[in-house]
Amino acid sequence: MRQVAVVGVGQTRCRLRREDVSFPGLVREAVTAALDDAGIRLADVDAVVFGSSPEYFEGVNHPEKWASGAFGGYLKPHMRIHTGGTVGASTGIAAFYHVASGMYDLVLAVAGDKLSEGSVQAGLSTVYDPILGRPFACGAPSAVALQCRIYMERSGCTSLHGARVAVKNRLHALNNPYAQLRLPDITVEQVLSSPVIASPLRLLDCCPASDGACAMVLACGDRARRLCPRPAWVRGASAVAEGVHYARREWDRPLALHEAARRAYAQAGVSDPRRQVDVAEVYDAFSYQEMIWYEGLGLAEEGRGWRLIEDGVTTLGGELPVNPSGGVLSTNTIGATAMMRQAEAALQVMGRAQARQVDGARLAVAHGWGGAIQFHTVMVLSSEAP
Amino acid sequence: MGGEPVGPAVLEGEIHLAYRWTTGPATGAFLTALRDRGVILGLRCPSCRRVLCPPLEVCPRCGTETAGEVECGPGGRVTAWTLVEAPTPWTPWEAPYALISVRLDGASTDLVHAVTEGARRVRTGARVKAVFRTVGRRVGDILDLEGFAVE
Repeated sequence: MRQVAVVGVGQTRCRLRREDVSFPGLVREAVTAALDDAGIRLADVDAVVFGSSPEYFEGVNHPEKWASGAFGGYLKPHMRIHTGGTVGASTGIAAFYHVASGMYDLVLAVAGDKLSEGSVQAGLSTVYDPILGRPFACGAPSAVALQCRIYMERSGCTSLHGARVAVKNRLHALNNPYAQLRLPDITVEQVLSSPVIASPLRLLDCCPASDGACAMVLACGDRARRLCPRPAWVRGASAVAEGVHYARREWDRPLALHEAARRAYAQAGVSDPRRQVDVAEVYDAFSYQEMIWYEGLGLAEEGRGWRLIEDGVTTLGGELPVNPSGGVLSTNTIGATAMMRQAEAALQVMGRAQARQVDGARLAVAHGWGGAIQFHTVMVLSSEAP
Repeated sequence: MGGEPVGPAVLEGEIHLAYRWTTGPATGAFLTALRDRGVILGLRCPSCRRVLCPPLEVCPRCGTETAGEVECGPGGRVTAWTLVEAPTPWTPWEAPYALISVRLDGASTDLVHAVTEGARRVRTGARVKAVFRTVGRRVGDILDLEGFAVE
């Protein structure tokens, strides 16, 4: 397999509603930023991979048709990826495959959503099984609430731990100019007294909805070295699915996450993630989930994810900072979200994360989840080439 | 087994969702000019000099951001046509109506729209002229340009 690195990333400003841009314009903004960051022009790009989540969000079926002129797909090899919430990460991984395979040297990955165009939770509810699931569909929070309940009852995690994740990531967000939510005065008490959405989830345990996009430029080894003094080398990447209806689905121990992590770590030569990983960006759409993902990613022992929160391990300045960007709890476009995890992880190992930089970060992990918590992606990025 | 099905084989349902689509600067200017001035706007690509009508924010061919509004039409020439006999439930015209691709005067690209006057006379190369909604009834959507009359 060829060496592949991220050599440029671009993120848009994310807001609850961006009325200054259309959906294609939003995607274009991220593309322009990533090309500028990589120091290349669109003409240099060999192929484009575009990702966005369910069509019901923008109400435009087949959004790659609408936006291809804006994201640079004109007369270039081009494909669209769609894997629910993981789509941004799957798009980055597909771009990685494009380069790793030897087919293309310089590939643009771009993903985004403009969630304010429709009703996110109503759109998400159309994802549920139309025959057996629709009456119970209540967007994402109600389903994730069940997952969090299972986790709490198994592990001893309490609402205080959830609240501490919610506070940690919102305070991290203050260091990230691209983060949407700005809650400098947020406290654990505030989280615990915010309105219940679906117990145990309270309003401040939940992510916001955002209009935003993200893009990355991936290059083969030679091009990466020429373009970038310190590229973010993709050392491992895996996107794994499990089904919805079958026995032994364990939402608090997702098999697909374990398998994705196992594969990505094996590729990257990571044998002890808790010791080797310097920083992680995980898909914390809801506060409790972050601790479940710690365990799935091997950053904590099973049932002990909440310990990392209790001990302050994952706070910026701690031993293993998680979501120094502010995470999904501070910005969630859905379409771009999982790519933002990869882009932020890339910035960390490039040493370019500015105020949110983890000192000496050399190995970073980016995670995404989607569907009925059945899709998981893991990417391992390093400052060192394989 | 055979015979009568033992339970419901088909469940009927519908999906209703509301949207607020951001038009963006190019389409937004196009619709505003249509509504407020009864003018069809194009945007010029500074690289290839083509006038895109309907306008796009980015010239797909060059990847360049468009700049410079150009008024196109109201006359134009039909570049392709079809007489639609089987419309969808939401089609605003009664069948048969003519769907056309029209190259407006001053534009470098084609606009897809309908013929509202003289549908039976439409041919490739025929001259057509824009028909706008009456002032006061315009709302800022694409049907503020009601359609085209065959000359």
